[in-house]
Amino acid sequence: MRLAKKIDHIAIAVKDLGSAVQTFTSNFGFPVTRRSDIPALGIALALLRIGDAELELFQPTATDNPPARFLADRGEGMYVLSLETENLDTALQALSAKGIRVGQVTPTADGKGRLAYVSPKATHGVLLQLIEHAKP
Amino acid sequence: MLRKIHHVGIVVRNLDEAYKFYRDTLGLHVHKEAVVEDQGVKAALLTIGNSEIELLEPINENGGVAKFLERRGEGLHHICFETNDVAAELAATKAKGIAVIDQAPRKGLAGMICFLHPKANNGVLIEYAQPVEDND
Repeated sequence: MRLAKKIDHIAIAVKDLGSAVQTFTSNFGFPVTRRSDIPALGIALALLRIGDAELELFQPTATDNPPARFLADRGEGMYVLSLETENLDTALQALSAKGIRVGQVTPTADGKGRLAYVSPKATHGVLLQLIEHAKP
Repeated sequence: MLRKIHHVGIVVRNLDEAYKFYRDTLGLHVHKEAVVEDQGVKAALLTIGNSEIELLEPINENGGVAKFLERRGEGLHHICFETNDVAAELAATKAKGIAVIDQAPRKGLAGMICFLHPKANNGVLIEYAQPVEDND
């Protein structure tokens, strides 16, 4: 069984969202599809489309959340790999059955889908997110 | 034109161990595996949707991947964008004054490839790849 069907997005931690958006649009020509400030997650983000996936540039807007700690400890760079799954519950059950730890299921930022993180121990250091979008 | 994410590169300590998660648990198909001597890695491409996940295991102590592993541990390493003309894309990138690692395209696992400098892209190591036919 295939638990992930495509790359949904890659999240990149940046210090200054405005200048990072300028850099990525100017360097690569990817269109910005959405910008949002998400106080609940303590980040502001911009989504840039590339093919059937997106790059998410985000700037922490709080000082004590995991994205802010990542930026302080490691500097700017890739933070999360998000893979789309057909059925999140099935995928999480399959992971748990193999003894792999998974996090709480939470709604996506747009409120239409659901996501959960997989323990970086299982993924070889990757903060891996599985995301299920609402069926149209 | 950069048309899609060709792959996301992940540095791992041991390819066979990483297969247990990415191939056996996530269920991704290993499309290609090879030693790339000039990058000092044993690498594999696993298909996910229209893109791939590239797993990179260092095979000597001198390459950039070995240094990354020593300094940062396993995890996300680079993003590769697909182009149908890597030479033209690299030339356009250099003409914009964007710092690059490779002055000319070279052969890699994904085809003809080149790397840009992470300092030009908010700490993200970016690769361009022009795929070649899988007849080698």
